[in-house]
This record gives sequence, structure tokens and C-alpha cells, in this order.
Amino acid sequence: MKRSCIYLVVVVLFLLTACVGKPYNVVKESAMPPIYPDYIGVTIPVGIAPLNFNIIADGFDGMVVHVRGKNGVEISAEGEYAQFGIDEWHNLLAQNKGEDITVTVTARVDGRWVQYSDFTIHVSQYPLDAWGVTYRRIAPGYEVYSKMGIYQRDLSNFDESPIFENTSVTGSCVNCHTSNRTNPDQFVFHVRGEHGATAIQNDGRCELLKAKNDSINGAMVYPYWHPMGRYCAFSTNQTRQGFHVVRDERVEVFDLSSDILVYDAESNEIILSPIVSKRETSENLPVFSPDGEWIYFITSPQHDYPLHFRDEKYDLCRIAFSSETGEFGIVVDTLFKASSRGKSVTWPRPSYDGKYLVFTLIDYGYFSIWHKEADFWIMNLETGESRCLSEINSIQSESSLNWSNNSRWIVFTSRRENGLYTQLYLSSIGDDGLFTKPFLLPQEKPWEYYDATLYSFNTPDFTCKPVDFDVKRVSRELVTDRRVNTVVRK
Amino acid sequence: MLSYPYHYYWQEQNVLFSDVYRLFGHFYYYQYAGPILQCVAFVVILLVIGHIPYLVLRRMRLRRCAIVVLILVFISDIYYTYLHSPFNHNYKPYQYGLSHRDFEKTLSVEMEYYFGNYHNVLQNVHNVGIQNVVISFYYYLASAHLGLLPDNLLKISPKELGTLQTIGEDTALAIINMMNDLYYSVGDMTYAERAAMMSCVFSPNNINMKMLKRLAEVNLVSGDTLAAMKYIRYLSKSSIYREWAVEHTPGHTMSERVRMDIESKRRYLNNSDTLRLGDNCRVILTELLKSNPRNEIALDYLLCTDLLLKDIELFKRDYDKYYLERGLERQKELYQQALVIYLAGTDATEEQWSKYITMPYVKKRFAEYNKCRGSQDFKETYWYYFDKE
Repeated sequence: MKRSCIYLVVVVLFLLTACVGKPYNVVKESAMPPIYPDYIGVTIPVGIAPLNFNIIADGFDGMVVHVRGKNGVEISAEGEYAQFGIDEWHNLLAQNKGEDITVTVTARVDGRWVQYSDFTIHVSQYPLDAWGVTYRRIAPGYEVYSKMGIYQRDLSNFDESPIFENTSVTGSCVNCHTSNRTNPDQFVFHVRGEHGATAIQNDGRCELLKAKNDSINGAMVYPYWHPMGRYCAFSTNQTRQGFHVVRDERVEVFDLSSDILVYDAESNEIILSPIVSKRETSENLPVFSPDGEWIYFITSPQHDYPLHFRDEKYDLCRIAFSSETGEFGIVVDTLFKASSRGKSVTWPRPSYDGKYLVFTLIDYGYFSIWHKEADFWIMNLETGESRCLSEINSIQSESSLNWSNNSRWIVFTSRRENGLYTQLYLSSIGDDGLFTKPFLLPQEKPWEYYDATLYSFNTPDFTCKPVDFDVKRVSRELVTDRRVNTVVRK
Repeated sequence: MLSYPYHYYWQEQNVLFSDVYRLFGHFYYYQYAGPILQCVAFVVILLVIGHIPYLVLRRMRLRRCAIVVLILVFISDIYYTYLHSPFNHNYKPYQYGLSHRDFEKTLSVEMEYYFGNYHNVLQNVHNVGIQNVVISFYYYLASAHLGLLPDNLLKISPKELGTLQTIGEDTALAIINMMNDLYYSVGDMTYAERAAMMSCVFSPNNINMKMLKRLAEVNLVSGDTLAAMKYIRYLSKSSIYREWAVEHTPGHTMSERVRMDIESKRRYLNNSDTLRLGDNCRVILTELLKSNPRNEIALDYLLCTDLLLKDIELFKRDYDKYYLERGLERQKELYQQALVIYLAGTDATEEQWSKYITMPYVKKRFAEYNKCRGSQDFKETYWYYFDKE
């Protein structure tokens, strides 16, 4: 009995040390709480994982947080960081769809309790229309790679699982995972290295295409699916990498040549057009319009690289594509002549509702990830007008982006936090065409996770359901080097 | 001078240690004794440590099978935590192509360099009595910091400056790990960062603490405070680097010595942007010299690389362009010896001889060498290297 009492006291003492205690003598401050990530005033979808956060301040040693919605619904968290229960968080958001929720943060700093100004988080009326996101996570090792892979993350909680890791096939590197309009029943990704291949998955069947085809002068990269699922647009690039001597931009990627093509997944044929395979120009990063009638791409006159790398300025163009005959049109329209502004367009991404096209604008070239000046722009496809997305841009690089299936949300990469490692942000577009303040992809212990990570997230996309991919079977096939040959359509 | 064992320091700098691991100190570290003694030590330690839970369990009167299970768990825990840890798995001497004993000697040189004891590096190299690329590399680097690279170039073998090495998938781990030191020393922060990142990429879980420190230093020098702080915060969580992290945090905690060190490094930075397609060190060094002609480390590496390649014409061009035209007064006998070869081979005029050869005895000694070319008496001269090696 005596021993049991001792155990009980020990357990109680242990539990007490885990609590921060009830705030007393609270001093009110007019400043916003110094929280990480910055979730103040963001707009989030119903169903998103809890926006756990930390306080980054000297002398901080605990906090109590209350989140209130309408009708008096309230949840709270306390401890070293704000951690909310997943179910109660989801309940709170579901009951406050289209409304603001108010967050009150009281923190103990230098031994005294401080209550900061309340801040709000807006719960969007627009659903996310996605189960989660997929992305590549890779150490910025420039041209060699150890452990990296494509991962999927459930956006309603913090669960992450690998789709394909390069450790499955020694010495490989995977990139450019692309599903068809967020549906992972159909997706493509490219494996580089000794056992390179272009993997195309269609309704559970994975086909490995020969990574390089002599008749197209390189590998098929930067894919984008036709909405019908039969065709996939690619570019074929002879890529080179260079290093900036004065280091703001660090790495530059340029192409000795690049063309665009369409792959017919039914006949394994490659469809070319002389209009978008010109020797004197580089055509790159093709994407289909939501109706499949157009291919948007970027193009620039070919220069002598790397000597004139700063002269490489891409314009945004489009060419018609017939899904019935599988033929390119004969006229190229220029939609955004960035070169006349001394700029260059890259990574075009049309919204699936056909209203907008977001692209990245940089000073030169197309590989924007190390360009600090890289900013998103949006083009209204109905009016042709374009504007800088200053509401979501930062002074660091913003690069790749993808839309949710309902064209209400975007997920994009940005180096805004440290200039070195890209992270994923989400934002929503309103009826007025304005984006809401982006929020960092939530993590269970955000500061611990992001501050410690030495990996970059890139090529993000939404996925409407978990990706079902038989890694073991595909890995075995990759090693055998059995590949489906592609032929150029005559 | 550091005390034995050197792998203690080396691992401490390279690997992420938690404080718990440090408590176990040497046991966790690479076992210098070799595999047989390692197994003996493992069993002995297991018996000693295992005795404690055994006694506890006996008092608790658990069933025998439970005791066996717990001991097995304990053994596997010890095995996977310590003997088969990512560290021991990834940093074995064979990756340096060395025996255990030579590995220790090699680390004595590398670690003295790491702590900035350049004179000790030179002394250790002559004491250890072994030769390999790592020893040579750090010997030359320490010499360069002391302004003695041309004086010491021919004193050891192999003559590994590092300037002809490139980093790629097939590069030995030892080379990958040391290249950042060369780039950082000559002042090329772009490639120092790249080499350090490559080193991380080839480390367990993409973490190598020494390289994170280098990444922090590189970003401090190039003024990218956001990026530097990312690494400094990381390092501040390690007991080994905590003090270093405080001292290098931009702001009031940064020491004056560190501030001056960073400022002096900044003077070497490139000031015009171009694109480099590979790690051709000649391009790297000449660009650094264009930005800062008084970068003596870069200059010595450039000229010494020319000499090791026995490309006398290239050496002469570089000497003219980066040495003479910029009015550098420092005279090195090695360069004089190489110039003598050029002048003699091009039937130079007396005026040219007097322009280039400022050490008259070099000319006299060359005449003596020519009477017995390849003689061992001239083994320390560039002429011997040029003819015989």
C-alpha cells in the first residue's frame, strides 16, 4: 500500500510537470503572438489537419490557446506548443464553414503570462476537394542523390507515406510525379539513373517506357495529362546544369535544346510537330488546357549556352491540339510576351475550370527554383489580362504550383522561410480572383519538423485519393531493364 | 596538439551526437581495436552491464523465459544502437582504403587541420610515416594557410592538391568529405557549399555535423543570414557545437574574432557572376584571382597545379598574369626553378633571365643539375620532379 502511494505520487508529479499551469496575473499585449508557422489571418479548408503552432520568443516556456467558433464552440490546447485534437479540430471547422474562428494565445514569457491580441483564421466555404498532396522530398545535393522519393500526405491529419523511394532501386532518382487532374488512377513519373524509365500507371497497370528515344533527342520529361487520359504531353530536353559564381541563385539549369511532344498511351506512339520542334527555338513545359483543345507551353530563341544564359527569355504560347486525330494545330499564339518586358515565363499551370493560368515569372531561363526574383503571375484566360500575385509572393523564390480539382485551392513551393529549402504552402482563390494569405503545410510539431529538416519539398500536386502503387513489383521490373519501346508517329 | 585517439575528435565533428550517446563515449565510437577485440569487448561489456538487469529480474522473480527475452532485447538494442549504428556502418576505415592503424594516423592530420593547428599538421605528416591522399591533401592545405605551399609541394607523396578532383557519384567518400575544405580555403563559397551539401547527401540521414558547420560558415561569409541561421540553430542543438553556434550567431553573441574572420573571408569572394558547368578547379581559381589578385592561397594552388601537371608554358602564363603583372613581391624557389626550365627551353635573353630569376643561386644550381640530370642529389628540386616523376 505504501509503495503504491509512492508510485501514485511519482506519477502525479510527472503529470504536473507536463502541464504549464493556469495563467494568472495575465498582462494583455496589443501585439500579435509570434507564432510559427504564421497562421494569422489565413484561410483554410474544412478538413485540413490541425494548424498546430509554436511560439518563437526568448524566455518562452509554455502557452494556453483557445480557439472559438460561432455558437460558442471552443477547443483549447496547452503546453510547449499548440497541439489540437484532430477530431475536435475537424468538428470546429465543419461547424464554422464560411466563418472566422478566433484564436486567443496566452503565453508564459520570462515567467509572466502575456495574452496577445486575438487573431482569426477564416474557414473557407470552398472544400479542398482533395484527399491529400503528393510531393518529392529531396536533399538539395544538386546533381547526385542519396535518399529521396515521392511521398503522399493525408491533408486531414499528419500521415505521410512513400509512393516511391529511390532506395528501392539503387542509384536512381525520381522526379515529376504527375497524376491526371489529381486522380492517381493515372499518373506518370520519371526514373533517372542506370535503370531509368518513364513509368506510366493506368488503372493499376504500370508500364515502363524506355527512358530515352533516339528519334526525339532525349528523355521525356515535364509531363502533363490530357483530360481524356489518352494523351500525355512531355518535353524532351538536353539539360545542362551550371553553378553561379556569385551565389544568389546558386544553380542554373538550361537546355541545349528542347522540344515538346505528345505521347499516345494507347498506341505507345510519340506525336511530334515541326512547329514545336524547331532547332532555333526551345519549346518547353507543355500543359493541356482543361478542355484538352490547347497545349500551353513556353518558348525561347536558342542561344549559345552557357555564355548567354541571361538572354534566355521564354514567352507563354499555345498551340491547338485535336484529341480526335491526335494532331497539333498549325498556328502558335503568344499569350504573354515576357521577353518584351525583359522577363521569362516558366511553369504554366491552368486551373481546371479554364478560368485562369498561373505561371512563374523570372529574369531569365526557366529553372526558377533558385531564382529569388521568381514570382507567381496569374492570367485570366477569358480576358487575357495578367497580374502579379503579390498577395502570395515573397522576396524568395516561388516556383512550382498545382491546382485542386475544383480550382479553388493551389499548393505551391516557396523558399520564403530560409532561402534554401523549399516548403509547401496552400492558398485559396476567391470569386474576385484574389488569393488568400498562404499557409504552410501543417505538421504535428511544426517548428521541430521544419527547423530540423534538411530536405526540400518540390513538384507538389493534390491527389483526390491515396496513390495505390505496387512499389515492389515496379522496382523489380525497373532492375530488369525490360522497357516498352515508343515509336514516332509517321 | 590533440591527444590520442584521433577518431574520437573526428567522429565528434562529423556525427550528430545526442548527450546520451556522449555518456557512452568511446564505446560508441569506432572500435580502433579491430573486429576480434571488438567482439571480445562487446561480450565483456554485455556481461558486466547485463548483470544488473539480471539481478533486478531475479529479485522480481520473473519466469526464466521472460528473463531470456529481456536479455535478447537488451543484446539487440546494444548491437543496433552501438555496434551496428549508422555511424559504424558508414564510416569504416576501408572506405578510406586504409588499415585501422593508418586510419588513426590519417585522422591525426585531418583533425589537427580541423582545429586550425596548421604547424601540427606539418609536424604530424612527417611523424606518422605513411602516405595517402588525405594526408597529402591536408598537408598542402595547411601549408597554403601558412604561405608555404610552394615550399612544401615536393616534400611528400602522393602529390594530392585536390585541384584535379571532381565530385560525383563515383568519387570516394574520403575525397567528397575533404573537398569543401579546399574550396572554403581558396574562397569559393559556391563550391564550398556544393561540396558540403554533397557530403551531407552521402552521409546517413543526410546529416553530417561538420558539413552543416561548413554550410553555416559559407552562408555567413556570403551574407545569407537566413540560410546560415538554419544551420546554426541545428548545430546549437548538439552539445559539441552549441558553443560554436552561439559564437557564430549574427548579432550581439557573435565574437569579434569570428566577425573579423568572416570579414577577411569576404575579401576573397568572387565579384562577377558567370555560370560554371563543372568543378574544373582552374576555372575556379582564375575567377577568384580576377576578383581578388591578392588571394595568395588561390594563386599558389593555381601555380602549383600547373607545375604538378608539368605544363610549364601554362605556368609561365599564369605567373605573368597573376604574379608579375600584379606586382607580387613574394619569391618562391619552386617557382624560380620552374621559370628556369621555361627560360632555358626558350633561349631567353639575358634581360628576361634577370627579369624572372631573382634568386641567382637557382640559376647556378640549375647549371649543376644539368651536368647530372636526374641525380638523387637534386631530389627536392622541381627539375628532378619534372624529369623523373
